[in-house]
Amino acid sequence: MTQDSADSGLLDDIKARKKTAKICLVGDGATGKTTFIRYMESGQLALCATNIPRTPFIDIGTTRLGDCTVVMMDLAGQRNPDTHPLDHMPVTALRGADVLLFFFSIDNFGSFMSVEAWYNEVKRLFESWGQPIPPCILVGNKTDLDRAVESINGEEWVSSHDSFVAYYEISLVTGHNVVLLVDALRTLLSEGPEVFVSRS
Amino acid sequence: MVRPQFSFMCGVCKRRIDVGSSHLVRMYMKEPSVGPALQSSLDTYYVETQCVPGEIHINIVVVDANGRYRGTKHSTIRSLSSVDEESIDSLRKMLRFGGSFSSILTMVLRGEPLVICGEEEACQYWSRALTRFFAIRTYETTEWFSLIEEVIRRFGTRADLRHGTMVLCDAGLINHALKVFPDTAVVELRRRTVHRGKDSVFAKNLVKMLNAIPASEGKAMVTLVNTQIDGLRTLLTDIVQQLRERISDTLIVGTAKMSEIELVEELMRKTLSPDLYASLGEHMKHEELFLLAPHIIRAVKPLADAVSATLERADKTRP
Repeated sequence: MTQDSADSGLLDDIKARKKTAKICLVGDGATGKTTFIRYMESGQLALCATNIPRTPFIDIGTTRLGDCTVVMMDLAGQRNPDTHPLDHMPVTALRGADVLLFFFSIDNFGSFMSVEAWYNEVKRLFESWGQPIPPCILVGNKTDLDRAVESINGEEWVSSHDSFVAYYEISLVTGHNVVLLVDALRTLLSEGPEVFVSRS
Repeated sequence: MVRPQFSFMCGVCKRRIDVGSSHLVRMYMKEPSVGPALQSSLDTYYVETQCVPGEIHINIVVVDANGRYRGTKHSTIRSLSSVDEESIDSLRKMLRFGGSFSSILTMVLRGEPLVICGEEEACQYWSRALTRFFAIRTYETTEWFSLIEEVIRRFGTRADLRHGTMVLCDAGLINHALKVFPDTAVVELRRRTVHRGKDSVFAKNLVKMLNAIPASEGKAMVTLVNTQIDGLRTLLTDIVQQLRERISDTLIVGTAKMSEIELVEELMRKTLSPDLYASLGEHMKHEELFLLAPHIIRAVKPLADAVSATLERADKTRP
């Protein structure tokens, strides 16, 4: 048994005993990752979303989902070389994640275009650790703003990437579909990705 | 005809724009998008609409291979009047170049590499104006070179410039530039001369028409240029789209002895339906195909591969 797989087994064991889960949020800046974490922690929507500062490096939040304690890792959206958690602490940031949330903003086509770069980078890291990439959910935030990305893009992305189990379009300002996303996360953590596969 | 038809909301005024059905829409294809690996390939289109009098609304939109609108990358507004004054001035300055101006246009319209030698400010001005008015697809301008050592450090002592590249050099480097870029057209601004330039009937006619417009009708000059170049862009988009959809590798054979135009013509004849081929022929003259052929070859991948393979074979057989 390799050291990596031994570590991974130990980590899974601890997580199962303590009933903890880890969710990582990646995507471009200003797509709503931090706002989502705040919603998960407080249950408050971002009615005044202009005062949320940029995450400079990494933000960590915790919440309860069912009987599970969830740790949420919010990675900075500005992928500047050598100043990002994926350069300096990829293991802390990503390894052992149970779910990955890829965020983009529905009013910004560029942020959707960046999803592929984020996905490839994360996938490469998991491959280097000899682990499969965990189930991923694609999240298009800001449905309250003028749409610059059609839904077909997200739907097609999810259907053409096996790691992705679902696509949600939400608004953390109006609350549109947010409960559905949280339900999906709860289901994913308690019942596994197979539920989504059979649903689809 | 083969122009994609889709509708989307203008990012500036939020009105619905129907591309393909409105004469107020001007559109041309930019580079294919590099982005998410989806089931369909995505192309980026530049769409200009005069939704409001005196304003042009520009939307850079993404469309899939089925002509379905996928999203908007960028929206912006441009005031018609202010741009026109500047444009008129630029066109007038360029026309003062003289008789060889049409061969500069031909090179730029074909996307051929070009070296411009002159004073720095003049070179930068020409580069900006030429690419703004006459480039059919993206043109890349390299930095300014004032010393031969800089040119050699960057390109070596002999270089083939890529398609769609413009190099700006100091006027004193003209003889060096002619040696370092032996196969490239070189514009000498000071002497108003073009070395190794190609000319075309299309460019000559365009220059002739521009010169014939009275000075007081400056706006007509800009409209004429925009209409002519947009016509070429639309034609290019149509042909490329049709060829991409219908081309098969087996059709690209026997390319060795053909010129660019013969190759594209032959391919269009074999690939497109007789009706479509005839209808394209009505809209396009031989000189337009001469200008578009290099763009078509580069935009249709199997065609570009076949041409580069032929060139490689020719290089190998050369003693």
